[in-house]
Amino acid sequence: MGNKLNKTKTLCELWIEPNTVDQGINIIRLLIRMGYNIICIESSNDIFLELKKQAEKQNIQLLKRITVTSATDSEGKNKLRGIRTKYHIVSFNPIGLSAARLAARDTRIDTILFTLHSCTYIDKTQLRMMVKNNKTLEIPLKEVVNNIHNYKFISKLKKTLKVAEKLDLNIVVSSASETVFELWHPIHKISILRLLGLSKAKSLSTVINIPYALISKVLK
Amino acid sequence: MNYMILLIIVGIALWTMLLTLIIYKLKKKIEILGKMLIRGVRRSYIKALEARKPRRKRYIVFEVISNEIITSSELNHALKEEAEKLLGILGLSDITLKLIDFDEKFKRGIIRTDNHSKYVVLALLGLIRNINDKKVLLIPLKTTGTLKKARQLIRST
Repeated sequence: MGNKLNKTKTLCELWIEPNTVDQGINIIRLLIRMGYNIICIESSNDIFLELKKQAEKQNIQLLKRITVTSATDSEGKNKLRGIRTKYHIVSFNPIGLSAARLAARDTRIDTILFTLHSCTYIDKTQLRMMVKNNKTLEIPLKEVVNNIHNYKFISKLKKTLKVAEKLDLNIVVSSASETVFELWHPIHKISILRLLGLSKAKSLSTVINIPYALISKVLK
Repeated sequence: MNYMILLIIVGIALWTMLLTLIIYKLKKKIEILGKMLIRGVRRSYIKALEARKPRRKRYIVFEVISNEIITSSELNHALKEEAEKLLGILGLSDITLKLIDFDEKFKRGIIRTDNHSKYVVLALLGLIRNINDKKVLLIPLKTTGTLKKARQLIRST
């Protein structure tokens, strides 16, 4: 890929979930071609260890992540117990209001997912709480592609992004891909964010600066 | 007389203290308001500048990643269909989108667009994941200003 982006910047893919080692190797190979340097993977321990060996040969940093889905705060607390030591990045998918508020306050959570089920609970108050507690809003692009013709979801996403930009909230985008065909090039990510209404500067920092800052914070 | 001067001085001191307190309390809000104002002005200025820019041709060189063979007509049809779904007829009429060339051997192609609709076309490339039930991924390689350079890029490894 002959663009300036991958020569100068450290690019991070925050979510891939391969089901087999071969799939994982193919995904990592293509991500390297696209210019990514840091990859976060959500899979079983065996697959992760096998992929880590492969990644070390190619000078790529592989991190482990987990997505916790919860409807209530008590369920969320139970699921989050002891999670911080095992995983580098913890994402939370709230499917209830109390769970969403817990996610905004809890220090063990790094990112909060914006999905079809969680978008109802991510309102202005939630975004303000996230800004206050230094949380990041994560947009899985797989969800956007699956619901691209769902005008209600896209409208909610656009409104949320507008408010998030106004409040100066950290936003990241991830592909959540299981196969090679679900991956996203950084330029794709920037253009889709611009299409959704973010400014040029904000969409660039969403793809380049914020994921790197998040990972640096986690690895400290 | 002295008593009056003392009263005025005390009054001024009290007012100053009150003003300092109010400014201290509203400092953050004033800062946010200022930032929003600056951001708003800057954004409208950038928008005005962008709108004033003349339309120039841009050629996006892309690569198709797929396990199956994709033909030029299939790709062209998929591009138009996805653009119509995403933007509608009116939106499609505003942008420039044309598949100029597609090399089935190298699996690389060129799309003609312009500087105003470049980001829409790039986003469109990201959204196409299926062509006639064949899984595909379209990766943008480079955007150029001349067709000659774009054609050179197709054949380069």
